[in-house]
Amino acid sequence: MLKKLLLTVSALVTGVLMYAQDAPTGGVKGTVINRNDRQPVENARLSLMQGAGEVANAVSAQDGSFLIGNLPDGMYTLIITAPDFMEQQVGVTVVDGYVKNMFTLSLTGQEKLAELEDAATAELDMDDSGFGDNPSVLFDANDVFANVASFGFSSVRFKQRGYNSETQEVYLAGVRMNDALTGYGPYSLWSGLNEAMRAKDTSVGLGAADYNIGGYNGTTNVTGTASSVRKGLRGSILTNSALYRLRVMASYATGVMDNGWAFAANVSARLGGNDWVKGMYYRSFAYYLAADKHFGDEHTLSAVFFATPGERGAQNASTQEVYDLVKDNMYNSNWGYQNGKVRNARVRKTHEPVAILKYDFTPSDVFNVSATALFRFGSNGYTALDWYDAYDPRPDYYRNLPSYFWMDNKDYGRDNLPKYAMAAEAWSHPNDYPTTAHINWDRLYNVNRANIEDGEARSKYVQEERHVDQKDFNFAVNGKWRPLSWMTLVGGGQFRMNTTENYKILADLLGGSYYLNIDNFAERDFAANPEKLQNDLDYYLSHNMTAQKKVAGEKYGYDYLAQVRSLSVWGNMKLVFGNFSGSIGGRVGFQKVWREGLLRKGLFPGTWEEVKAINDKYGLNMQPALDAGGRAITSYGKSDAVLKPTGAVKLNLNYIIGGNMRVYANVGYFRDAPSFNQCFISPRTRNTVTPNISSVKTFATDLNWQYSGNGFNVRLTGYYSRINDITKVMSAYDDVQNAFSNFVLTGIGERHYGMELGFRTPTPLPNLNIRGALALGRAEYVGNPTMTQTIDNSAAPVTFNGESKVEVAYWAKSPVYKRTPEGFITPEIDHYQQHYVPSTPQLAADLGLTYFFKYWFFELDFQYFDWAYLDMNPLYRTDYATAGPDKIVTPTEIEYMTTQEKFDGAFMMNISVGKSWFIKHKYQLGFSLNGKNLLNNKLVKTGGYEQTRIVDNTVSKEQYYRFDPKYFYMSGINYMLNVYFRF
Amino acid sequence: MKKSILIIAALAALCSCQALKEEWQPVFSPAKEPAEEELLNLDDKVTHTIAEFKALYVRDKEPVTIDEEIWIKGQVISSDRTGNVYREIFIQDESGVLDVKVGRSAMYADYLPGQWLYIYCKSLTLGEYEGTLQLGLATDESGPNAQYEVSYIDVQSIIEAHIFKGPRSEVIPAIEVTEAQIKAALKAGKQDPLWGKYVIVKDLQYGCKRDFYTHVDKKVFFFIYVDPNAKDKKAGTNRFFFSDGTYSIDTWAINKEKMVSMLKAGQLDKDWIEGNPDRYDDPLGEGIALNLRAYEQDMKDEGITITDEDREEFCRKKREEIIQNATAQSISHYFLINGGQEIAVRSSGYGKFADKKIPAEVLGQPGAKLDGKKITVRGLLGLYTPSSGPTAQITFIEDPTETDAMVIQ
Repeated sequence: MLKKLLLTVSALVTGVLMYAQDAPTGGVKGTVINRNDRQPVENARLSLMQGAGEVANAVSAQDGSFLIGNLPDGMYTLIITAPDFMEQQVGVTVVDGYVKNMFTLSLTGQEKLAELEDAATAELDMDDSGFGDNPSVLFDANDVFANVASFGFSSVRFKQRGYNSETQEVYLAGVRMNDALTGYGPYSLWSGLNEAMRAKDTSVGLGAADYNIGGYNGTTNVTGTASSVRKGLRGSILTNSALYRLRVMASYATGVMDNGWAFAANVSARLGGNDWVKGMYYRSFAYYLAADKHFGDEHTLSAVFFATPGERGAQNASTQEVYDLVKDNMYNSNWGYQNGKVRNARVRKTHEPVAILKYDFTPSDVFNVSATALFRFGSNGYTALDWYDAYDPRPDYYRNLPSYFWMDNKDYGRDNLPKYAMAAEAWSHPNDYPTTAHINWDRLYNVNRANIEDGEARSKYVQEERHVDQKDFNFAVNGKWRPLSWMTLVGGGQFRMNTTENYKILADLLGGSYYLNIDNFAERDFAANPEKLQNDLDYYLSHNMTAQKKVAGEKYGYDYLAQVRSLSVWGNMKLVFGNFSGSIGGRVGFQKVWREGLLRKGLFPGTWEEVKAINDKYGLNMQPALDAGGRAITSYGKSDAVLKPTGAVKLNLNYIIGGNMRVYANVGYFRDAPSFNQCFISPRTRNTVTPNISSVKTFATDLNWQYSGNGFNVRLTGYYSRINDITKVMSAYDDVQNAFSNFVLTGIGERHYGMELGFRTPTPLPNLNIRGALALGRAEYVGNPTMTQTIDNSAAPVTFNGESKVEVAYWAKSPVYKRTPEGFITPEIDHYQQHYVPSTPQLAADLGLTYFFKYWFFELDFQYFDWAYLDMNPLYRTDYATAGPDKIVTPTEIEYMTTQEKFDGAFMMNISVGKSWFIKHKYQLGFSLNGKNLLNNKLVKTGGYEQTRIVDNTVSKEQYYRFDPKYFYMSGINYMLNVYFRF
Repeated sequence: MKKSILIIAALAALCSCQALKEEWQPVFSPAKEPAEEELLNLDDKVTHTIAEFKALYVRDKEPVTIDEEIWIKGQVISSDRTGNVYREIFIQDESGVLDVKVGRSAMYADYLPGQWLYIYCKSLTLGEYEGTLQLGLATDESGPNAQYEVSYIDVQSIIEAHIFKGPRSEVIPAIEVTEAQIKAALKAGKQDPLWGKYVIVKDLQYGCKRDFYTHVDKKVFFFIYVDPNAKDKKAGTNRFFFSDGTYSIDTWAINKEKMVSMLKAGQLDKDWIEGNPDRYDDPLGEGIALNLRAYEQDMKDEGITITDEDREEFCRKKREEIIQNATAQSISHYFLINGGQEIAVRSSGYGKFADKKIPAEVLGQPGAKLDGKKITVRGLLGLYTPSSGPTAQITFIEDPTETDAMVIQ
């Protein structure tokens, strides 16, 4: 028995030894470094290919090293990928069973981020739409879909899964930075500081994050501290043709020095106009200073201070009639010649510094906690023309356009063809008729100078600067603890105290000496009641019933504080069991908002008691303005507070199959408080809270399949979400009411579903890859919201057939009626047209080739976008609007008024090329050149909106007509050249 | 290293070449304040006086579109600062007055009173509206605005091609006209050169002549639309005329707020809510009577018997509708010159003095005859030609409550 055993063991040992002698002993090893600063790159993925198949893979260690062993002799291709770096491919030959030492493999950083972020924060003037948006795409180098989509789809203002940008959660140093008043992403706070803000963690969709449980539309955290800035001195100079002409940028970072200090600085300037939109320009600067002090391995104290002072000229949307007349879809009505030089009326002027103090405590590998105090302050102004008792100075005001004088449809009553021809002639030759197609600044000065009252020039036209100046204090604590090898707990909390002063100043009196601080809309209805006209009633009363004269730089019009307080705590538990992992987390908190008026407006003088006191003191007979419920509406002092609980729960499940494949699913429910701007119907004038304001409730889920191996990287996702009780507040002039109006939409519902596919695959040709992304989804409205309209001059809401709250009956869908064989419309409904969330293509596809060779890279992308829709005006979709002046609803009117416009699909081609060189083994010089829209397609609508106006003075008086919608277009062929220098 | 320097230098050169382009102006050289406006002297071009020019109009026939190189000049005598004149400018030379229909609002700081204007008349149209010759653009005779002989000059390029600003002078003083001159002008009709002039009229006393329709001694005139946006806006069923007294209106006109409060207070109910059975046979008694009648007729046609409550309900709804659609109202106040010639002072409800009160001593007591104090007024003298017969009409340019445009004698 013992003999048998010995023989068996002997045979096994011999067999093993024999096998060992036959096993391949070759391999490849080396260290992955950052080409810029020669620092090791951790977590780079190395995939060893033979033909199209992956033979082996590895991940670089903390020091950048890697080893792939047990390779038979042969020729291989090693593909190295890492977040924030461009993919690199090198050939490897293993001979005689030796381990090939590649020494250092350097990766080149992505350089296209600069363009992406600036494009996302370009100033688009949506003011007269009542809608606002700030689209952005989260960049995530780890995600193959986001990697392509964030670059490739930004030019058409693609919104991932159709979600509004405010649903993205954006953090800085662990503090949620979404705007306290609007919820929008705060990218403009650090645009131009690309180097300092490069380090970030991003999760896509419902994915979990370490600094919060995140939302349902991606979560990103910009590290922002000195230690996170790439070491070394670097500079770049960039020119592009679509945004600004010149960007110069420099940064320097020490990295963590032996004494524990780390310092970093980043400055930049973005200057000039562009090839496509006249009047749009940048004069923006940026600075960033940061220092970290590491006290041993446990304590780190970080201080950061940055801002992006400067100004940006804005682009405006116009109607297709205007674009066709001037033969330019990039026409911008915001500018005109002053003294022969270009001047833009709408300029964003900002200087909003952010100061951060962060403390990190890392006592062990299994526990760390950080605390961050962040303060944002400064000023954020946006200029616009304002006027009193004067003709509208905007060149594309509808009464200046040819269609105002003649239209083919006689029902408009516009019958003067010669006037039409003359106006069209002028518009068609804007260089010959600059005062027709552009703002006539010289005239505005002349009018102001000539308007002498009491011996002084009283300005009729001024340039105002609307300020939204935030004092935003945030304090966040985030911690991470791994008590067990299979369990990680993360959690924290954030408190926000935001006080934002909303006011406007007289930026420029345009040649006049003063401007009278009265409400010119109110004057039209209450001319004989001077108290009602006053924007500052208290001043008027205390100055012998004299309206206030304002000079340049002074506040006028309105002035109020938006107060926001919020607190939330969150926690997330992550579990790992073999190939299975999951997390479950939750967040609870509240948000409280209120308005605090700093001026007593004459239209809304106060409560009964306050008005009585005024009357007694000044011998007047004023009355309070009463709402529909008989309650006095106030403008001065505090409003009612809107207190809403917030919360979220989220579950993530993750299963790894065979090392390369992953299946994961996420599901979450979110209850988000409405933003301040949604809580008040007309905060410029009064304290009135939006009636029936609700929290937004969202259910979202997705299911994902991911494969990463053999040189392939694929993600396929299906998603579904339902959002209820969205509120929108819009303000616009209403021709039916002949007044400036506020429209409140409550109870908007949305349903989002679809799929995402991202992939990158090798080809039989060395160094040539195919990549692609496909977003195919639907973001559609569900159910009909209700609309309440108020006008600034009146306390009571507008009534429609006696009702102040009306259903927007054709919001989610509109009927399409059957036709007779002769083409006449019948009362029988054929089908319904579904209405969609606007201003993003819901079908976006990219197919590209990438080629890397000896530090050259070439990329060629073909893109197709479709299923994009126009932003809808709720007024058009009410029974009131479809009934028309005769109050008779017809199928023709319903179809005409309620249909949602779908934009045409668009095909595009982009190309990128780049290269870098080392000079004397010390300096690095490189460039990247991106050419976009090489087919010069100038017909791609990227957004727009229906005007909230109705043509009501028709001849037949049978139906209302829409005002023409306004559009934004994508620019034609454009380039960006970036030359960088580092050492 | 050389390469890098070359590339950067090339890029810098590229940018500096662009520096001359307009896109850099807002960045590096913001626009300076424009110089003072250059005012032209085009006296050499002037071919016609206003009177000569107006003579081109073939009275009561067709509007004339000018096809000759005609230039005229005139001094601005109107202003729309108070809102009482709207979208038109009156210019005057020694020979006469011309109403230029410049279709812009609030032009008072573009074209100052006293400023000389040069007008290049070729391709403009001379026409007439209710006795006043107007210069504007041709209208489409087949279009919905065909009742007007000229339309507004409201295309910016046309304004700039035809109207040129000349030197600014003192405002032309108003000329004093007598009752006799007004009577003569009324007799002469539309062609009398007095119409349109900036005048002073003395000895106006609040009151009117009794006539077939209005058996009153003091009256205003205005009308309201039930629905200003109605299909047939001017239909009898959509308009109520008010000329049967003063309705306790003591302001020059009525703005929207005041109108709503008057309607709510029932100040105008006499005519259109309660109805006046005597007015049912009155050809002017359209308003509520016809509406109520139409309602009653409809019910009768359908075989439905209505009660007084039904009538009240109908009137209640009509009142709500009118209040909902209430707008500012222009008002004509009637005066007699020395107790003789009737003259209206008409003011716009959208004007800035619309709701300012007429002094009580001017109005006198309700129902009394010619008991108010006499006044002197200054304004544009116009001719209003309703079916009831031509009436002289004064339009204030200045605010009569804050200037001497109206003086109590």
